[in-house]
Amino acid sequence: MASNILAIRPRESLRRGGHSSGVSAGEAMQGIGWIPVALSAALIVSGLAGRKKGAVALALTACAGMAAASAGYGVPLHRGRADNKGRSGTAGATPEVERAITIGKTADELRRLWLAPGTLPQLVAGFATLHPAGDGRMRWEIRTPLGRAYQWESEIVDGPGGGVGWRSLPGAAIPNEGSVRFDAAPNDRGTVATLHVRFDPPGGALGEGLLQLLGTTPLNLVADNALRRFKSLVETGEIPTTERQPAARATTR
Amino acid sequence: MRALYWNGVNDLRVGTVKDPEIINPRDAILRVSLSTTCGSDLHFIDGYIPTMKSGDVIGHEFMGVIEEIGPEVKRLAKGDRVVVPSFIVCGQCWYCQHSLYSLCDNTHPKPELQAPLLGGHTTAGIYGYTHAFGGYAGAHAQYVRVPFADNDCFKVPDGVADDTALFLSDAAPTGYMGADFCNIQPGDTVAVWGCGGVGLMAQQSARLMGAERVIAIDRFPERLQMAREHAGSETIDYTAVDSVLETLMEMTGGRGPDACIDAVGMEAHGTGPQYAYDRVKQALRLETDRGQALREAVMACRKGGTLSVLGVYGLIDKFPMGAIMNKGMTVRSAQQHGQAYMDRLLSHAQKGELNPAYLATHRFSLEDGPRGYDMFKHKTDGCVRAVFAP
Repeated sequence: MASNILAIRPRESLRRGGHSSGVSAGEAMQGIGWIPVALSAALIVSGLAGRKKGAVALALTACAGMAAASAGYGVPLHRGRADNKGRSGTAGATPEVERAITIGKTADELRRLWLAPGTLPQLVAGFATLHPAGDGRMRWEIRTPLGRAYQWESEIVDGPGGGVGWRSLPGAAIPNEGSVRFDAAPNDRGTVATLHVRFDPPGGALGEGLLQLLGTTPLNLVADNALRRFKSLVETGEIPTTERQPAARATTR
Repeated sequence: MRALYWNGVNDLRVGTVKDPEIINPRDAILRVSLSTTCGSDLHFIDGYIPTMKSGDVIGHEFMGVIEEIGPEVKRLAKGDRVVVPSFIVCGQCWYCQHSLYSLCDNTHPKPELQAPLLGGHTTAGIYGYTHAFGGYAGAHAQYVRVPFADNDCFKVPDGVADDTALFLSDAAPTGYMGADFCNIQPGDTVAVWGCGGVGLMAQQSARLMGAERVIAIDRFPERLQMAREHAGSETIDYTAVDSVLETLMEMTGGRGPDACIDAVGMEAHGTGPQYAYDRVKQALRLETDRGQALREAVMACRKGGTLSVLGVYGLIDKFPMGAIMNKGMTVRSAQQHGQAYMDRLLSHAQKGELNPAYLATHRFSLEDGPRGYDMFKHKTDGCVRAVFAP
């Protein structure tokens, strides 16, 4: 399968129902209350068409399927409960994720474009704000929905398999490291870019900050979005967006 | 500018919103000349499809005049009269380079809303058609932003009127693609379920591709009449026969149609929570005619024939996979790859071989948009398509 996110190794600790990064807090989107609607409809079915016993089962199966789908992917269902449950379930685990995407460029092109100034800040926009700090270092800033900010600096290191890596400097609020490697894809498919991100590497402390961070946006979604944006940027020169578009509401995205 | 927007379930409004602007370098701003309703809009209007937000400008079938271009737009200029396919495509990814345009990898700004429902995959983005399909502002407005304008705007030749070009945005390419899927050979009979805009375009396209006979199935007399008059189809009113299957077998000497095109759908799209809705709805009407269309098409098709699915589906029950397997059928389906067909469609339109303007049964100013959708939804006064002029 060319050109698609492959879930290679989403660690169990990251399997959280929760927010979609596409919907910021306070924005209303139709569909959140779907399961109750479907259940009500199923009950109506049972009342109206008692002879069709399969009908209710059918509807309930559909609901169960949706709930299952939402649990793994951050569709905004069961938001509050999943978060609370997730928080306690995450403590003590290692937040680590590896995701891959196939891009129609050579490995050399991708390595050059990944390292180009300005690329990385665009890939993680919405999750973190990045500022170049000289010598290949980056200053990261993440704000939680409650307004608390976490900052750290990272440096570039060699990644495994000839890839590009980075790791936070000692004393970071949220110690982390990551890498991206580029391997040839079959035939005319281009190159597979594999992104590996790990928070709280050996020796670091998993603190309250990390929990708040992951409560905001699941790490696998951050990784997926970063890879998709990278692909779009290098294949087309731009990242698709709905910013500043017309809509009859305050936040128009 | 003025725009038609979704305020809530069964609540469309016209209001003043900010004008669109060039955001990315390959964008253009189009001054909309005409836009039209699509049956698929009804699903989110009725509240069956989630991921709409109050205030979303809707509409994905349109044509107009280039008003402004971004710095990287090379092949267009202000004043060009163009038609725009509904799916936004980059032209550079593996899918675009293989003419699978509606599968473009690079035009969906909100993949996290769709990927979970398609096994991790995403479609291209669409204008004005839910955030699961990208959340782009739609075209029932005075102006619309068109990303990747060089790939997505097609100049309309002189001699092709606006109301013909309009339907080359969606109804015509969808129907044309459905006929193309059928690999039509001399002597072939093609049966088409549904005589809405897409079904009628599929019938005409099958003719253009050399079908010997086209058989159309619907229940609305005025639509069946259009099928006879404009597409030269033979027609079956399925409310007037005991069995569509037996009727088709009789009409084809017991062979069955060589290809069957489903242009009906299940009142559902390929996104999430509406899957549940679909199943509930199927449960509510287990013998629904719409549910029968796809199954009928499978059962009627001749051995070794082709099933071409243009109708939109979520999950379907009792799908006769055994008939498909044992009859050695080929199944083809897609959202429209409009960019792949636009040159051919414009050529057909220029030669007068394809004139979809008759679909525009009712015309409104944009200000009357809500009333237009209401007539379209209820098929009032034989409404096939409501067309809006801002």
